[in-house]
Amino acid sequence: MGQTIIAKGRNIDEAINVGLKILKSAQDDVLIEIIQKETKGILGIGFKPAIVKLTKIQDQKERKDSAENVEDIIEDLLLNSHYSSIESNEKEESEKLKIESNAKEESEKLKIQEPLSQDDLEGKVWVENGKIFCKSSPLHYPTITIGKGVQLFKNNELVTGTTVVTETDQFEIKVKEEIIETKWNITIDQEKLNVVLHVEPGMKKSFVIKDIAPDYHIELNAEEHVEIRNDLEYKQILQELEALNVTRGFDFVEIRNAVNTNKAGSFVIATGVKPKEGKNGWVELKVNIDSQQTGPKLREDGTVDFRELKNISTVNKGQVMAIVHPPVPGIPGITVTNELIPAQPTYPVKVQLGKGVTAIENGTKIVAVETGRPHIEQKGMLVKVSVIEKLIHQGDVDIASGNIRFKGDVDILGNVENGMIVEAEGNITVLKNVNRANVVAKQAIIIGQNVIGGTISSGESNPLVLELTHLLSIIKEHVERLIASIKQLMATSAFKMTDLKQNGLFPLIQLLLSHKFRLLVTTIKQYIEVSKKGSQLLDQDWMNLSEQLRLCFFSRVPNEYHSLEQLTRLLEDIGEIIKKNDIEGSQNGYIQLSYALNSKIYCSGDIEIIGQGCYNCKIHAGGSLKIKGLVRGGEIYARLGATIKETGSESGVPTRIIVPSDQTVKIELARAETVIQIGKVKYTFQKDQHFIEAFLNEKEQIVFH
Amino acid sequence: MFSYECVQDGQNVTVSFKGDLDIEVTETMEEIIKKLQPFQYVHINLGEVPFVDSTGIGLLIHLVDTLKQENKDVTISHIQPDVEEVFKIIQLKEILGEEIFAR
Repeated sequence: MGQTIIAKGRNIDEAINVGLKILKSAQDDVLIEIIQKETKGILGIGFKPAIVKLTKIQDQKERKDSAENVEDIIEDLLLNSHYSSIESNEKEESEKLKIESNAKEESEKLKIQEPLSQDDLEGKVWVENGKIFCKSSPLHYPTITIGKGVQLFKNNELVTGTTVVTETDQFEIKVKEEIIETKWNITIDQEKLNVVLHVEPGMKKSFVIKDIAPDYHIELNAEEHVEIRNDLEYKQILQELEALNVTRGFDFVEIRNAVNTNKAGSFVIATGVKPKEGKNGWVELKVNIDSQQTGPKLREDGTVDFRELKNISTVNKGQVMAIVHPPVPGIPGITVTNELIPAQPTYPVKVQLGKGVTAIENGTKIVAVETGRPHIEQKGMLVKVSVIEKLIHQGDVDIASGNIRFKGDVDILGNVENGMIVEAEGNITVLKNVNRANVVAKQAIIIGQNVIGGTISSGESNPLVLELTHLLSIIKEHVERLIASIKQLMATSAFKMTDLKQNGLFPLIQLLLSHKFRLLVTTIKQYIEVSKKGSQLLDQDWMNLSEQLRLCFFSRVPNEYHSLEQLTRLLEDIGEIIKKNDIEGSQNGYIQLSYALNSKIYCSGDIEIIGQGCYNCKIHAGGSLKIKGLVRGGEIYARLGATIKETGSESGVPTRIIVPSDQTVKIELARAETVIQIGKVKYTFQKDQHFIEAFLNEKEQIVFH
Repeated sequence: MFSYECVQDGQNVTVSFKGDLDIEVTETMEEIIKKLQPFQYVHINLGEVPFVDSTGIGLLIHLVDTLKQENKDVTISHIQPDVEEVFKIIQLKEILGEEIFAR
């Protein structure tokens, strides 16, 4: 060994050059040892120079051998550095490794490999191929922190958190492996029409230890690998289907898809056949009947053309009025468990032949045997067909002609005079006036001119239905209050529902009926009696409701009606039947007239006053009311709302317009003192008001629009 | 648990109910009715009845009705306010008669 010097420079090259100059030697002749690499600072702060140690070599030969194998040395170095912990012999050598360089290139290479140099590994730990390596230094022991998904055993002991690594330690790394099994189930819907297989494929979560570069401290982490595994087998599905008695309608393609799926999903693997619904029988009309309630035509100037009465739809003897079609039965379906699903049964229409008609060809055709107005009425599956004859009375109805009572329509071309009566089961048309006379029709009444001091009544209402509807509205109100009381009791802290499970609401309903709801008891009794009496004439709905009411309120033992849900449903049923009959009741009647004074006008349907208006009349409209003129004095009730041009009078005769709580009153000009009443709420106009539209808000107050 | 206590004083008897007056009391009530047979004046004390159910109220009505049929004088007293609330909703006073409820 020759002369040794330490040289500094801004970088390694410079340091070497400085050293070489001092030694007056070529690079070939020296051994270069890098002591410190330069550190670049910012603006000179933190700057550290590069420091090299140069030793002049005496033995040329040795130097040359080495120089030729610079690259080999570097490779050795790499190997050594990795295995140095095992082979401590080599360690010394490598520690003292000195690199001879005779060319700049070599020194470059050296720098590239530098991070792996033995010195740098000192005190560090690293991971390669899933194994831990370390190289301890006397003053620093590398440490490992255990990360997620990894178990580390150090000398057969489980390590938690951070541990120190020494070269003598034995490490064993275990990685977690998580297996989530495939979940699946098969469900059949209620109708047994669809079998759905729900699959959630399982997965295998495994962890692989990554290589970690040498460092003083490493965190031992594992990389998560997720492998989707769908373990579901075709056979399993078939077994389960067999267990569920599914025998038909398989979709084998979908079963395959389910077995092969990588994603959670639902597969319809078998389907049944839905029943195909048939069609009830029906009646096809061959005559025009819709003109029945269309009044005379208004001319453009507002006057009425009574020669253009449209309700002249007639049938002649022998004319086919309707064809009766039989029902078309449905086609039953089949479930996945091979059970039949019956289609809804279909029913034929029941034809009730009235006057003037007959049925031919096994009842499939209805033919008129009289000439007159065709009348066809359909309620549910019941169709009534008849021909209404028409009586035309020339001139006035007076003492000379006598009263007129007729089964069909009546046309009176003159007046109906003082004290006379005209009654018809069909329509009544009076071309002129009705003076202090009674005009009663089961269908529409049309009066061309004025009604003075008369009584006009139009529309047929089944008195039984009227009575029952009335009773039901009382029952409805009470049942509502009964439910409210039950809810109130349930909310009371001292009230126990201990007996609910055993007896439902039965004892409670009994208690409430014993006094608080006595009226409900009597009303229901009445309802049951009336409906029993009229059972021949009534729809099944009324009878069903009667039975429901009996079971709920008069049963001596608890039954399924004694629950809050059933009571609520019962209340809904009651509401529906009331609503339905309200609408039906208004279908038949219709009144149209020009002007009325001091008269009583009753109609189960709509009323239209198309002329000057009405003075001091009592009007009841089961449907809507339209008055194109004035309403001066009197009381007017319109169940489906009223539309009036002008109400009230300057002279202050009381004028009242009444509609139910869910209806509106529209008045173009409401004079002061006009009273409107919506439901139970009244309002009196203090001054004239134009274009009002009044209805009730949620707080039961009349509001104007 | 429901229990009752009878304190007699000549023709008078005070029966105190203790516990919830509910469906569980059904059998006990028959027993009570028998026990009260010999007395002319029956005072029912509900001071220690915190809860009632509809069956329990029904039993009470049955008790009072039975006693009244035998022309006995019956009073009910010391009703807890919460229970009173229940009685009010059911209108028990109107069912049994105002005079039974001692002030």
